[in-house]
Amino acid sequence: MKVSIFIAAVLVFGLQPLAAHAQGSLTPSGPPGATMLTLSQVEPRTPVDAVHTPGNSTTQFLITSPGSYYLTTNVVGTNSEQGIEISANNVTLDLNGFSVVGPANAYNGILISSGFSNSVVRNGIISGWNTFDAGIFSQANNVVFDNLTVSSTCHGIESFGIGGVVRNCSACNNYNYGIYIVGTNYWITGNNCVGNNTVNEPNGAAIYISSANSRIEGNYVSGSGPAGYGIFINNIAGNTNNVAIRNAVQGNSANDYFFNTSQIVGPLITNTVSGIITNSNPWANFAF
Amino acid sequence: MKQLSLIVFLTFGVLYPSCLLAQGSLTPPGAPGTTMLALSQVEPRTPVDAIHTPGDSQAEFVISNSGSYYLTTNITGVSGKDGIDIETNNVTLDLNGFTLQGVSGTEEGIQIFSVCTNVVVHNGMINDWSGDGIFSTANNVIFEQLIVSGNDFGLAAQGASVIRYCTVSGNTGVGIADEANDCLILGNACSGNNSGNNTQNGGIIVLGANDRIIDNHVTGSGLAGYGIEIEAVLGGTNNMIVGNTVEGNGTRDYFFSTAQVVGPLITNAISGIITNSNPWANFQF
Repeated sequence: MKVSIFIAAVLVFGLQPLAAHAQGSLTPSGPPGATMLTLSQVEPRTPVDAVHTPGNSTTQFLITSPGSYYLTTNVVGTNSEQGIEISANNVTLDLNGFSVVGPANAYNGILISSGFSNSVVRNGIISGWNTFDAGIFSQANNVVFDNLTVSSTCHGIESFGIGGVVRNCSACNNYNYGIYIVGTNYWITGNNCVGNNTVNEPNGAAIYISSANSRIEGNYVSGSGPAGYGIFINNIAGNTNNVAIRNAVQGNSANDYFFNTSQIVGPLITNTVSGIITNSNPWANFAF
Repeated sequence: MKQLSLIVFLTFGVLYPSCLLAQGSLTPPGAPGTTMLALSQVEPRTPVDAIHTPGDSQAEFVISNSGSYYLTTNITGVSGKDGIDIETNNVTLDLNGFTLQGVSGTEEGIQIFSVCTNVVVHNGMINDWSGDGIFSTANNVIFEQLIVSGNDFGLAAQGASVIRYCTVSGNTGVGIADEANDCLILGNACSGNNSGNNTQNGGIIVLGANDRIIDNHVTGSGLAGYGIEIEAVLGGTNNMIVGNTVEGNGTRDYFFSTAQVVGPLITNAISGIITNSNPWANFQF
């Protein structure tokens, strides 16, 4: 018994110094602080790929939730499918400098479905889609197309919804229309359209408007097929109150512009008058 | 003895209570899920470097596949070579704020070949190349927000292009040389180009047709050179020149061959106060 007590005493008091000189709690005071960023904080947007935006039988990639999306590589289309379809409200799609490239038997490069609103597509190249479809085909409302290069499709950008902006895009060498707007209330500004209407459709045009209440401003158009038009506002009932100012169109002579009645149009300045511009109207359109 | 064992056990239990707690399974519950991003998703673009865009006998780096590329550092030129050659369609090259720095004996800073269409180069500096800063023969090209200085020609385009919001200065030859049709040259600042003082060079020289030269600011383009010159040597007609400001070349601030569409000139010889209200006017001073 004495031995037991002695051993116990040695254990207790012999080990006590460890406890008496504690090194502090080994339990972390809390989770790591916010001095570091997670990868999802560095790139919080959603990549467009088979994992995050899987397609279906008609589209290679399908966006069905609101959010901010971006390309991580070129999208190369497959036959009988859209490249990317947006079927949600409030979507931003950053092409991130990549290209959405189609084969001849695919559908539209990017489809924005009807019934949705608030989409932005920007910053990339869309080329080589079906000769009957569009680089971008939109039926949604409130869309913005910004800093895009769209070439070698039937229509470069084709938009049917209400309200939109087509800004600082290059629509070049498309088979028919460069920019084709059927919806109302668009602002089409600062675009560069060269060599569209390559099939030389008589009603083809670089910028074709078949709606009302849009503003077509400061666009640069060259060569829209010998039989086509530079900027064309279709002459059907209701296509009124479009404002066309400060555009410069070349290469289609008398067909540089076609405006039906009831539009608001800057006067034409042509080089047939003089080399020096004497017209001081700041809203003039140029034809040469 | 049993007492002793009990005492020892209790003693350790009191002093080291964590010994008594289970640690849980060390086997991971499964493979990492898709809540994480791969590094290639954080930055999916392709860096311009010796691994991803290896060069050849002509260029330090060659882009031969369609895609989106970016610089990860400054690039210093190698004598006898271009900096970056672009040899394919559908390419975006973001200089990412970095500089392509030429050295003596180098060729072009960036060369884009005529087989290419749909190319964008933006957001950086291209300085001191013995050849041109950028030499392009491709179509549907956009050059945007670049600083181009100290090269032979600053930016030479021989295909339909947009040259927008660039600063082009101190190049030996032409600042912006547009030798193609259907180009848009908008909002560029050109200063101190044609330092070689060649009578055929200047700030902006256009040899093509159907181009728009709008809202550029050009100063000091060599005493013998031109500020903005439109020459018809390649059939260059129907160019539209409005809203530009040119300084430093006197009567050679502007030279236009016939059949152009040109805003009227406003000069400081008339008055310090602008009385001409033509919104398409070009300024010389």
